[in-house]
Amino acid sequence: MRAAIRGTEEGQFMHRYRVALIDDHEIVARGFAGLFSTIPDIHVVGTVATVAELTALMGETRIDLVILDLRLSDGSTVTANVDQLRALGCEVLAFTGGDDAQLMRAAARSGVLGVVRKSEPAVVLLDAVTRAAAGETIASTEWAAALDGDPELSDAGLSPREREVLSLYAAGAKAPLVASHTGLSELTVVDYIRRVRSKYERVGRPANTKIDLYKRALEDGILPVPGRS
Amino acid sequence: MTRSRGGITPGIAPTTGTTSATDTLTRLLFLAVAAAAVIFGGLTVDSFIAQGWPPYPPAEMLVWVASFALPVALGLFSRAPAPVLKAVVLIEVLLFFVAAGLWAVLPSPALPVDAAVPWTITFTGVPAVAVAVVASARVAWSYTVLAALLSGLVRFNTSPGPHPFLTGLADGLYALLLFSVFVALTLAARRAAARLDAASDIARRAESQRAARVSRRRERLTIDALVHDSVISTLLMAGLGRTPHEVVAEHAAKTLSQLDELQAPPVQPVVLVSDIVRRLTRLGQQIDPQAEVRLEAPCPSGKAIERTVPSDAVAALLGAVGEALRNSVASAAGPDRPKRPVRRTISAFSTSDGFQVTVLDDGVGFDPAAVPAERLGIAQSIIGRMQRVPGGAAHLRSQPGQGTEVVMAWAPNRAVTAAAESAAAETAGVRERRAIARRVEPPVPPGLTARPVSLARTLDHSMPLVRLILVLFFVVHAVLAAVDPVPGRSFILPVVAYLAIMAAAGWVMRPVFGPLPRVRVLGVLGLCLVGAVAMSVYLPPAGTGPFAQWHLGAITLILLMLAARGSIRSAWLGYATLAGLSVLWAVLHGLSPLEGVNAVVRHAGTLLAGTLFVVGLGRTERRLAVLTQNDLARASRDATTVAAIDEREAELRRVNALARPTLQRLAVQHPLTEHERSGCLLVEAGLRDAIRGRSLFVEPVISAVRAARQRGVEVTVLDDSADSPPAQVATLAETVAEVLATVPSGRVTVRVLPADRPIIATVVLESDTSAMLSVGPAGTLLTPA
Repeated sequence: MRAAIRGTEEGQFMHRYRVALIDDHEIVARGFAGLFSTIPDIHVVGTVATVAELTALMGETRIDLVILDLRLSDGSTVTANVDQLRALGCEVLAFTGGDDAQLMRAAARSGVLGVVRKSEPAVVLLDAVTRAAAGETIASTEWAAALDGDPELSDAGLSPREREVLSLYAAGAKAPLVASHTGLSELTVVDYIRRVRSKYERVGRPANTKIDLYKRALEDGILPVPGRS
Repeated sequence: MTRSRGGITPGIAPTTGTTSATDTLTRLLFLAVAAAAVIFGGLTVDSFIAQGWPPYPPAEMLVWVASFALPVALGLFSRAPAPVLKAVVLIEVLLFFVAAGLWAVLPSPALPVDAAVPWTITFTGVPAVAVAVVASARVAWSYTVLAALLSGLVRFNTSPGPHPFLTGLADGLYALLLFSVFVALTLAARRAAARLDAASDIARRAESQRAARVSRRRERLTIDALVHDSVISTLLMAGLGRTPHEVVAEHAAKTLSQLDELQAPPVQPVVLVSDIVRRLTRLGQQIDPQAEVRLEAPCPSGKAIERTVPSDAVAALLGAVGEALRNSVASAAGPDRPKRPVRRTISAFSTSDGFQVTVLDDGVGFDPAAVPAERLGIAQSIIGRMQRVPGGAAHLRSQPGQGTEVVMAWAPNRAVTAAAESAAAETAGVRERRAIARRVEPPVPPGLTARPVSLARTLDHSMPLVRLILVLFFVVHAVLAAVDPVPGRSFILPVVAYLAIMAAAGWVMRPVFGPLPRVRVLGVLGLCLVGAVAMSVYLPPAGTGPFAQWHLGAITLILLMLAARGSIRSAWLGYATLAGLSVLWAVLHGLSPLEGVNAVVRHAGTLLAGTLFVVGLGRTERRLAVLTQNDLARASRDATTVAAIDEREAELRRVNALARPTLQRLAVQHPLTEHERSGCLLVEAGLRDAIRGRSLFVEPVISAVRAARQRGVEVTVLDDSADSPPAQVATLAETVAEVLATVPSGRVTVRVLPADRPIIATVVLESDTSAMLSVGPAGTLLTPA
């Protein structure tokens, strides 16, 4: 993949957030990179096709946000990809063509900030990336519908209010409509949805499973054995 | 019924057409009837010759021959059409009624004392069972009572003894008891077979539906992924206008060729499970000749399922097994000298969901957490080998002193679950390997595994009928024991014998789960022995009534039940003891040993007929289990193939219809107009609707959505009803289309909810004003709350 770090020292002063894209459709990814570079606070440091390429590209530098395609052609799973990226200290925003609720749930369990459809209007995409770079939850309708439609949602232990807010988001409502429907303030609604995200993420990975996954990742050679490299 | 376990059983039953358990059982029962006719026919030769029939001997000769030839014919031609078999049974029954009826009403001939039982009523159990095989329970029981009555009458009319009434009564009662036992066994077996038929029918349907659903989903996902990655990307590229048109054209051409490839799925080479087992055996012999190779069946009484496994998965499996074995040979014996002996087993496990091989040793084991690097390397190469195969997985467990187990599985549909479960099992010990082994077990409906057709379980005194027969047993033997008391002897001994034998009968029929416990078998035999010894001491050598030896018949029936409930060997051991005791009794009383044998030989016939019946039934049960499994696997394979092809074609038709014309235009290099670009975005949105809004991807919604988008409305259609779309989907579609037609601008989101919600869909409108509409189960709008 022909990827290049365009970050310079000058760039780091100018932009607050360093963002990378991982998408195996190179042309599409480049299009998005161009689009996101128009956001003043954001510096797109690279577009690559796999997580491994990004790791190689990063070296010691810091990346705030990775925009990750839910399905990559290298056979990797979304769970493994998000895990690795988060282990490297990046926040992850998932990008998708918009079809697979199962993949979105897997991404949400691994702790992505949200899932955004690639075909959303440019305004929506720009807003989502700006807010994700600041670490906010991106509650798209598709993301909310995937969580709300999860047969195992009850495991997350959401409060009735949280469930109601999630359902409204899943129906296509945004914060203002949700607020007027529930009689809550918009800020409270946003707070609820953030709690939904973190509760759902917690359910996906109880502590022992996480350790197991880590162990397996070591066994598989995905992660370096501590102290050996 | 013995169970064969372990050993190599690569001979998997050939897949034949669907066989109903009832048909198989009918054939088997007729064979048993034929066998019984031969046995009892042989036993009546003596009395037939001694008795003759005064009015017209040739006629009686004819009746005698026919009485035995007909049941034998039933056995030989058991595959004949049911009406023919029924007619033969009817003739047999009529023949019995005529012969016995004449014996009952005609003036009694003087029967010799040593052949006092007319031959016609000595084998009446045979037609009784024949009737029970073909007729309804009501008819069978009516016949049983009638035949017993007739038997009593014949005996009453012909008895040379001093108390013809008592003799007739006792004979009738005893006949009733004996017939009841066999008729009850027959009817129970028929009920069990009917239940198995019903259960396997339900199972077959459920299994094929499940398989169809699974494969439909899988195919959809495969196509969806492609649609996703290529078609949508190409359309977006073109629609967003950020990409040079030459690049768009190149991508469009590539995508079209991907679509074409999909239309002709490549044929994957496969290997049969029986072949894999043969290769595993060969592999085992090369590396460790002592290693035991076995093929495990998914249910304990069945055989393994024959199925196919892709040859790349087989190559990986065999490689991984070889590595696991070599690794075990190299390290499991431990570093000490002399080497400890290590037992290794390679068990293969085939189900309709996949195939699994486990290599287990009882060697020194190791702690995977504190691993010598070279050994972990081997483990990793085993696991890696399997993981590179689609649907493949492997797992290694070991503990110091607890042996090592490597599980290698290929389970195409369950790959995700298997991985998750092996993570959960990471901490579990080797001892729990059974639980792990079950993870690719097919979901067999409860009707099959929970309730196998087993006589041992279908007959115990928790059933009213069995209780009734047991009471009859007590009463009949009380009467028989009381009819002919030996003058001048204490009644203590016969009472002790009676109580001991009755206790044995009650005990043998107590409900039990699984095979009879050894303690109970020994206890029952012990009680019978006490009864038999007491009677032997009590009975004088001569001058006793016709039922003085009642205990022999009673004990035989108990032994028969012992055999029916699985302890065939113990039953015959009991019989041998009884025969020995009888001979001893004869010798001690100065009689010929032959007298002792004569007393028990008739009962051998009963026990032999019963044993044949039970053994045959056990065989049938096992064969049926295999047939059912094969049937299930085949139904599942068929459903999978058909559903997959249907789904693939449907998806392809849709994708081709929606996107191919646009892709073809894009493949021709040219600068795109604004109109073409928005057209691409419309097609992309349509594809997305087809995937994510499945149940609403119907007219009039498709047109309404398209029209709204052309007006500039941003429309999202989501369907979260998964595999159970709402019943009123047509009404819902009209409702949605009507709402869409009223929206001039802004955003609309339509969502079909999961099936368990009180409303079936929501529509959220965001234009000048925002609103949320709910659609009720009828498919119409509810008044917004």
